[in-house]
Amino acid sequence: MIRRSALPFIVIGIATFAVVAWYARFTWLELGNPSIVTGYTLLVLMLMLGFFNIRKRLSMVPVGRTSLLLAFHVAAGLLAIALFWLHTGTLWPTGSYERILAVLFYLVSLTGILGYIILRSLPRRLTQTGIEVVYERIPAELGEIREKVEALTLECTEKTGSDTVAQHYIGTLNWFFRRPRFGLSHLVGGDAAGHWLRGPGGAARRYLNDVEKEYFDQILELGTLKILVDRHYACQDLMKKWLLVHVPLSMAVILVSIWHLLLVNVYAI
Amino acid sequence: MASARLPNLGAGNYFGLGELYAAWKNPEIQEMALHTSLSALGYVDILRVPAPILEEHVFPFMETPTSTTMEIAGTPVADDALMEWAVEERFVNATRVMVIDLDRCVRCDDCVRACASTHGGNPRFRRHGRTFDSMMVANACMHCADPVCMIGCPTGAIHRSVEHGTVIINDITCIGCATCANSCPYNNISMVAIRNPDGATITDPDSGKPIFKATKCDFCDGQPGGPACVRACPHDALKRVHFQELNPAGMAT
Ligand code: HEM
Ligand code: SF4
Ligand code: SF4
Ligand code: SF4
Repeated sequence: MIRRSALPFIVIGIATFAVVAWYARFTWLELGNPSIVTGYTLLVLMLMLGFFNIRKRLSMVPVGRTSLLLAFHVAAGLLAIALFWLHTGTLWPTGSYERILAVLFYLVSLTGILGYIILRSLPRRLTQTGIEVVYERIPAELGEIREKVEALTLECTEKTGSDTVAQHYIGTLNWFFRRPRFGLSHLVGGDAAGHWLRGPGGAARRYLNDVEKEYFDQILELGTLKILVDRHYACQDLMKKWLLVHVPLSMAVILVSIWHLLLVNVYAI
Repeated sequence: MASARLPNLGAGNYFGLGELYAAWKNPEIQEMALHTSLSALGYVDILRVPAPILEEHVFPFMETPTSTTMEIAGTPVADDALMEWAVEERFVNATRVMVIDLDRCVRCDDCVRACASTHGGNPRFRRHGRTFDSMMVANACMHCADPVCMIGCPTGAIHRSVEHGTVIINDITCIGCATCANSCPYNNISMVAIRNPDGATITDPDSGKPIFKATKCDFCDGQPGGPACVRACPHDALKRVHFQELNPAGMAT
């Protein structure tokens, strides 16, 4: 799961943790306040983590590859979690303000880890569809599929004079073709969509004559294509949207931490 | 008999040397057959050296050659499929093809944004293209060994950079005639309406029509950090490689 390029950063992260932990203990033995050591290290680390957002916008600045920065980010993020525990000395602090900070911090870390897993596992699932669709093109692509299906349905009714396919479209298939479906199943690698298309979606087939069947099979084929596009939609959407949770939360954590630092210093006076 | 493609030979490779050498070494064998045949994929310069010259001036002074062709040929068919595909799609010309490993690519378009932000807001490639297995050859100029796009440019605006060997367009001398865009067999040149810094299109004072210029990947000519698209990919999914490095093993790092 973790890329080889991240390993050096993880080793450095573990070493940093050891040094900070040792120094914090040393400060404690000297009757100093170890929270100052761990707290400031944590703050600097969080600023570095948050800086990733700014760095990504400055792609013209030729320093380092983004892939290395990501490896650093992941290692530093994991180090931050360890330092957070070292700093608070508990999984769940007591003060209500500290609890808000802890919840935010845990959410950023959790979304970070989940996001990493998402980004590492979903691309392969998209490759396996055998098609490539640019995210912004997906609505148009689905629209084209639906138009083709509706044209086939209409043509079938006109040609055969029977409305069985049309009724099935209105009653059942329309639900499927109207918008992306079975998102959750696509995300976890399930085949609920295929199962539906073979079951309720294809149920009308046995009531059709040969000419109708020809049309119907073309419709089901478009349904199979739509499943692949739906899978792209579900996976690409999640790969984009998790960042919309991770990034604002990370900004909130940084702001609340700075506020926390100010408060602590005010009370210390 | 069906034929199978063996390796693609490039500079520094031999073809048929082993057989010629063996024929010279063993004159008692009358018929010395070539095991393989050679086809050219692009333009080839041929310099004919008669066998007697080799026999007199080269063979006596060289070690017995190993048959490189047959050696490389011992690869499984599955490994050749990629090369077959690349040859079919005419990617053999590429010196800097953009390949994206789809198993790694999270489709974030950071590469496209990086290209746009280093090129006045217009990306110079499309993150779309032919795919083979988990590999996509994106629609970006591959900086061909034989750039057909350079033939017929009336002002010489499209040219090869002397320093890097990349194919680039001089914006100032490009008159927007689209000759290069129409000749690129891979559709990797776009005609783009040029804009002033406020984003408004610039029009020709005589005709009132927008002025177009040819744009394509310039391999980030003049950018100190090299190709921005490669640097921007957070997942190391995008690479620029020579056609002969176009293989799955070369992609994974
Ligand atoms: C705890 C403090 C953290 C902060 C303040 C933070 C902040 C950020 C920021 C600002 C971005 C930039 C997103 C963008 O602009 O594209 C980002 C991206 C990311 N973060 Fe975090 N993060 C934290 C922890 C983590 C952790 C623990 C992990 C996982 C192990 C993680 C994994 C990621 C990943 C995978 C990306 C996306 C990279 C990409 O594809 O571009 N983060 N984070
Ligand atoms: S523009 Fe087309 S023909 Fe010219 S070098 Fe690029 S890919 Fe080759
Ligand atoms: S090398 Fe530069 S110009 Fe070419 S596609 Fe990449 S970013 Fe764009
Ligand atoms: S930056 Fe990398 S991961 Fe993102 S779309 Fe481009 S190639 Fe894919």
